[in-house]
Amino acid sequence: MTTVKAPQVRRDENEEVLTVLAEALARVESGDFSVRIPRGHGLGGEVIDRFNSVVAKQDTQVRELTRMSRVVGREGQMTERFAEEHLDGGFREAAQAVNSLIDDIVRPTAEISRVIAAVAEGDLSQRVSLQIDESRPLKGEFLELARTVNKMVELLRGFAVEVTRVAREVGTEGKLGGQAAVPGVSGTWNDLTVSVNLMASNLTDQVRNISQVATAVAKGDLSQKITVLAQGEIAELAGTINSLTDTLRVFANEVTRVAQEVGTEGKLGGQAAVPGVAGTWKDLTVSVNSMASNLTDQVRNIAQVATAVATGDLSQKITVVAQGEILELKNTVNTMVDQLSAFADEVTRVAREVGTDGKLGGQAKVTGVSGTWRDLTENVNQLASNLTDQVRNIAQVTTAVAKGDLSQKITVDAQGEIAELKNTVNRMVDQLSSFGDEVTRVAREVGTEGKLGGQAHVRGVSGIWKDLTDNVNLMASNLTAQVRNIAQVATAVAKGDLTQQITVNAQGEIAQLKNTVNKMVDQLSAFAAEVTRVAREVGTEGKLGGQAQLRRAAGTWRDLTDNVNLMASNLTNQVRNIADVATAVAKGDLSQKITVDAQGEILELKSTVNRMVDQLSSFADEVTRVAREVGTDGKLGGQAHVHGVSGIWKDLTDNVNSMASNLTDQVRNIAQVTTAVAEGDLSQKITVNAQGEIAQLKNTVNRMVSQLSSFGDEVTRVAREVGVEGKLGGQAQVEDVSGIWKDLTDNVNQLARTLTNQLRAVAEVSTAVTRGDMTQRITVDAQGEVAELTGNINQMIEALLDTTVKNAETDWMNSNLARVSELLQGQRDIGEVCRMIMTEVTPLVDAQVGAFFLMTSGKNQPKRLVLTSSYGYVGPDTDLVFAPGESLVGQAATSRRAIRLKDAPSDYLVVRSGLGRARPADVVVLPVLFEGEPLGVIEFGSLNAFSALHLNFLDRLVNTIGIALNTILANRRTEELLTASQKLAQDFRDQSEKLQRANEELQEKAQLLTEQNQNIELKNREIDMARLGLEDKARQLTQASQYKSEFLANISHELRTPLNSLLLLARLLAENAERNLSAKQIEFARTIHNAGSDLLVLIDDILDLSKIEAGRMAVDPRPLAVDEIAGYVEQAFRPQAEEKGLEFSVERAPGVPDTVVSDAQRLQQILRNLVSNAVKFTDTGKVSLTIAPAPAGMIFGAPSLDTAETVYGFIVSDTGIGVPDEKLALIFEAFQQADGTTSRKYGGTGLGLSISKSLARLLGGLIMVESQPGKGSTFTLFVPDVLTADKIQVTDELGTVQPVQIAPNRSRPILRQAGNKQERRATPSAQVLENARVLIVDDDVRNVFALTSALELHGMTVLYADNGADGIGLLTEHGDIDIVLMDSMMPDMDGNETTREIRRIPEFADLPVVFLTAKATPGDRDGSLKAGASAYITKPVDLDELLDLMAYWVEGGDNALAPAVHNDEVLEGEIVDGNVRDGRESR
Amino acid sequence: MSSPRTAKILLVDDRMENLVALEAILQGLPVEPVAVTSGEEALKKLLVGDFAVILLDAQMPGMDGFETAAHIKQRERTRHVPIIFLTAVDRDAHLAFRGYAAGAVDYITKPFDPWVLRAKVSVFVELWGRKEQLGVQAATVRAVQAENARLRDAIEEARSVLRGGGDGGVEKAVELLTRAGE
Repeated sequence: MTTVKAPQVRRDENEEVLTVLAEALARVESGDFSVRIPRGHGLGGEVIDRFNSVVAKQDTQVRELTRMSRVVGREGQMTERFAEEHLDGGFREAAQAVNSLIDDIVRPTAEISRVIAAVAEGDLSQRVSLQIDESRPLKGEFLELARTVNKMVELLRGFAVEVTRVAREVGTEGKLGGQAAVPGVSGTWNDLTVSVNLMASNLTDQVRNISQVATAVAKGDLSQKITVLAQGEIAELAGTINSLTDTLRVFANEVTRVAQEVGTEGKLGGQAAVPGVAGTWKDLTVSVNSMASNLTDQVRNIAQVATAVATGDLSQKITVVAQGEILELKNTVNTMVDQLSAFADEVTRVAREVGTDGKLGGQAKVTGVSGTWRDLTENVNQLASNLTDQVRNIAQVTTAVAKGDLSQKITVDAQGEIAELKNTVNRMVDQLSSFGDEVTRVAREVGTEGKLGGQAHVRGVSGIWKDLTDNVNLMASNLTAQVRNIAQVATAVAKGDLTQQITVNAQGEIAQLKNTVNKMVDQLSAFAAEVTRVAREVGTEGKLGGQAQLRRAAGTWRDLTDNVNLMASNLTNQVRNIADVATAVAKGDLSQKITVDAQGEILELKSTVNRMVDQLSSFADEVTRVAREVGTDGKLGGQAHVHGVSGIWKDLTDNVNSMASNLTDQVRNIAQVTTAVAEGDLSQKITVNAQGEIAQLKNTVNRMVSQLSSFGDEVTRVAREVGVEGKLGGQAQVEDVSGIWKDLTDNVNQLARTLTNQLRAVAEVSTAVTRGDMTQRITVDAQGEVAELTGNINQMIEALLDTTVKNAETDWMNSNLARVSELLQGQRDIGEVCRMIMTEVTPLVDAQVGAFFLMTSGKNQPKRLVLTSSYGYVGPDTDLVFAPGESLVGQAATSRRAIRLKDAPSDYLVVRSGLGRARPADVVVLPVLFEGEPLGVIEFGSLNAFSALHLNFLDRLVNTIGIALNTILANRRTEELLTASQKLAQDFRDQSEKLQRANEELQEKAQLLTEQNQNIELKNREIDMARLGLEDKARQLTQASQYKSEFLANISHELRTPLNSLLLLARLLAENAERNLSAKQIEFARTIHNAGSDLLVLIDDILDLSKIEAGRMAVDPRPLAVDEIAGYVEQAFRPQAEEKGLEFSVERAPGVPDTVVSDAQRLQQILRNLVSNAVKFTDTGKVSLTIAPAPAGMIFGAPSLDTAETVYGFIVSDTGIGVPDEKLALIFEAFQQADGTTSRKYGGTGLGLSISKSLARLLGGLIMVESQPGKGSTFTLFVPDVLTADKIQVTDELGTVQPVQIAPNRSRPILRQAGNKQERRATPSAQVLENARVLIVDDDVRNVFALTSALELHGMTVLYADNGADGIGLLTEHGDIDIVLMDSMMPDMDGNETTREIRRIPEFADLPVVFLTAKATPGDRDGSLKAGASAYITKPVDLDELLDLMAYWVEGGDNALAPAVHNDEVLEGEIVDGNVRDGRESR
Repeated sequence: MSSPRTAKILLVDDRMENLVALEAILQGLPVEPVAVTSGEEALKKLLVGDFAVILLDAQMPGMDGFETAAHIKQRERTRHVPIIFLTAVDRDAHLAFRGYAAGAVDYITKPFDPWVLRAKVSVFVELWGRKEQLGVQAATVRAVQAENARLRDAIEEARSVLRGGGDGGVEKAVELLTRAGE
């Protein structure tokens, strides 16, 4: 910077300034912007300052431009721009213009450079945009440049496309000849295109040429060569192909040559020689050579074999290895050789067999030959067969002749010697045949036809044949003679002439025959004689048992004899048997029957006889029976019933019956009469007609009856006279009686006499008695009853006498008693009574002395007996007084019994009269009693002994006296009482008046009281009302409280449930597993989670509290290890405490046992709360838990603690903020903390201590707290050593202990549980069901599940559907289901409908469907069965039953054994109806 | 059996959102979750399919988790399917005890750590996979044993034929063995 010199002179200051300014301006004008003018004063100074500022700005602008030019222009930083911010006005415009210029220049440049860059990267699709912005098109050179660039890019693109196309066509697609056509190119592009086209056309040519040559080679034209000009690799390729063509040509020539030599010219052994080949060509050549040599070998071998065959050597074979047709040729040749060989062998064999060995019939068997060989074989065979035929024919004929068959002739065609042989043989056969015929004829005539005398005529025979014929003829004549003789004899025999004998001479067998015939005739003769004899004996003479004796008989004769004998013996037996039976019948033995076997008439006879015997027997039985019944047993009226008899038998029976009935009548009549007689009816007589003895009997009886009757009349008369009419002395006069009747009459008369005597005696005595004379006695002799009667009468008289005396005594006593009683009545004075008794009674009882002692008694005086009155007694001067028990008098009173004193001593008592004195003989002392109480004693003395009557009288009198005395006494007492009561009554009246007055007062008071009472009652009622209201309120309160608790519990649960998902999802969000949340969002999620967690804790606490209050918190006391509790606290809180930098300790003081009994969970909950509070509210210092026994003698005020043996304290102390005293009680209240601000600082719900307190109470303990603000707090939980069940009653205000609800089982169980365990049983049913497939259709999944598990346990496979449609689907899907268990009640499609659907499917028509249902009405059951159910079982199902039922159906239902169903309810219908399935259709 | 089956997990909760949360938790595990909203439905699913593990909400209207578990444990086929109780009830030990008594392998109180649940489920799924493998192996072993027994019988028969000697004994034995080998 140049500094303009400051103006020196102040004088011309402005001028100087201007000068300097002008100078400076001049420099500025010349572009020097570095000029500065030093600062001046005043206006000049200001001008200078402005100048300087302007220049500086200019300078800056210039520098900036310079920089821009450098940076943008040279360094190419196109983003650089003029700083416009602190420029204004022209400067700003200038800057903007520059910037705009840069922009305008840079933008097209950038665009172009982008396109060029794209081109450089090979992207020819980009174009330079011809607009900078939307509205500003490029102009000028920019436009040209842009167009040029675009054109270039276009050209490049066209060229690239063309070249690519050509390259693709020629190179890839093989379309030769393509040319790139790039229009509008020039220069290098044109050259380039031309080059490319040239290249393409060159390539095309070359390739075409090569392909042409290759095609020619492929077509076998090896003359072509590649002629195209080529260079480089293409040239090499062309060379190679040409050389290949050459090699091929040489090879082909060689091969052709070899083929020609070997194949055509037959020059075997030729070999191809191709020089200079390798690889495949060499292999090819070797192959050709090998082929040639093989062919050579084969041909040579064949030639060799053929030669051998031609020379007759058939042993040679082609052995060379060959294949294909050559192999076939080889096989053919070999086969030919084999056949030839076989043919030769066969022909040789046949020739040898037929020719040499003589085995005729041999045939050559050459298989598989044809042509000449076949003809040859056939000729050989024909020869052999001809020879064989001739020889066999001859042999056959000769054999036939040898066997005697002369009908055979040699028929075979033969020639030569064989023909001669044939004729000879045939002639011989003819002669033999003729001879045979003659001999046969003779033999037949003589032997068979019986034409005896025939002779054989054989002509032209001689030699042996003639001899033979003669012999035959001789034999024939001999035979004829013999036979004729025999015939003669036989004829005689036949005619019955047994005298003839064969006489002809015979020999040999004929002799034997003759003898036989003769013997036969003899035997016949003997037989006839014997049979005749027997027949005569048996038949005529009746000599049974005769037997034909034929010795030496045999065969038929023997049989015949036997038969005759058998007949005879049979007849004999039968006749004898019949005779036996007849004899037996005759003898009366009807038990015999004809038992012999018989037939025919004899059988009839037998039957008749037997029947006769039977009838006789039956008749005899009947008659016997009747006789026995009537005769012996006395059963009259019996009749013989003989069936089927007639004639005499019937008459006989009738006679017997008539006899029986007659007899019966008579006997009955007699019986009737005798019965009547026996019954006393003598009027009856026998009236029946009878004869003979019976008539005699009748008369006798009748006479007897009449005599009895007369006797009876007489006796009756006597009896009536004596007995009834009283005419004693009557006698029975019965005439004409004797014997017993007379005795009887005498007896009766005697009886009448005796009776008369006795009666008269009795009458006499009775009369005396009636007169009062009792001295008479019956003295008559009597016996028996009369004696008794006499005794009785006498006794009666005695008794009458006694009774009279007794009556008199009683009369006396009663009358006297009555008199005395009468006297006593009305007496009032006791003394008078006593006196009266003495005067009256003493003489009455014949006593001479009497005394009356009266019992006196007074107040406070002992009882005494005082002599009150006496009779005839001279007493002493003093009063006679006795105490009870004293003397006999006292004794009598005491013992309440009479005392009798007999034979008293002489000086005991004296009876004195004026004239004399005597001693009484008898003294009696009697107590006077009333109701057992002695009232007095009476003593009597008598000179004579007291009679019993008197004593008795006294006894009874004493009672009367007692009553009288008592009455008097009572009367006296009553009088006294009456007097007293009258006095009392007066007193009462006085008193009563007083009382009345008092009463009135009382009534007034009572009135008052009543009023008061009413008031009180009113009050009471009000109180009651109030109490009821209170109770109602209390109940409402309780209910409200319960509602509250329930509400809290429910709402907590309801709150918590949505919270869960909220928390879960918030947590998932916060974890940002997918990493797509921002930090803020994560923070939000975390906040949601934390807030939710806090809410959850709060809800938990509320829930706990409400549960405790609702009494729903149960405790579970069990032994706990103290160490475990300590360990739990340590584990849970040490990390927290250490995190806060707090000291933390858990200690167990000595004296704490290892275990306490409490609820671990609750204890932990309390400790958790206390310790977490301690940690929470402590910032520095320490937190400790000490477990120690409570101080001895500490009083807690809680019974569970005061009664506990030991109390332990869990002491939690901290050095935290503490609690002021006045807030100590408050902190245990719900939602309270010591300081309202605390929660803000420390958080927490304020429920913890409240819960802890309640829990402590639940555990039978309590929590105590000591605290000093700022110093720390100590919370001590005291619990008893043993928490017993009775201490865990929740004692809150509601007082209701509710057990934990256990969800009840709502549905009926499908299975009737036999026990909890379902055991798998090995029953027959279980075995049947093993692996069965069961479909259960039921919508009650619980039941199905239980059922399924049971069925699966038995090895079944269970399929399940919860509705009918699914069930049917499963059925059709799984066709192999064995049984369906169907619920009857299902929504939509019920069991019946489903079953009907199933039954509609033909293949399930017989599928067992068992219904399971709770509905058990018969209607339902019928409905289900109608729908097609197989069976029906009710829920809950007995598993055994179900299994049995299922097994039954799975086994095939009715075909299987019926199940033992115990529950009759189940199968009732089924079993009763028998075939259920059949029943289904019928229903 | 050649390609291993995917383990199915039964999710039982009466609240759809909980089921959604559970499915979200289980996402990524090689399992096929089957979600139902009641114990009854759970039982129905169990009647027609096998499950590797059951996540069972204890507190549900109608049939609750305990009853459902009791049914599951009564059935032989489902007895060994592990049940994890999920409960929002509270930390009441008694209910936990009921859960364990009902046969639960685990008793998790909501809210729970999703990763813990995930880990637990994956353990059971792995166990299930092992069990499946074991089943396949057992079947293979059984088949091999049967084959062994058959071959042994054939050899025994051939031996007895050989011991019996006679014409063609050797051929017969060879034929027997050849037939056994096929």
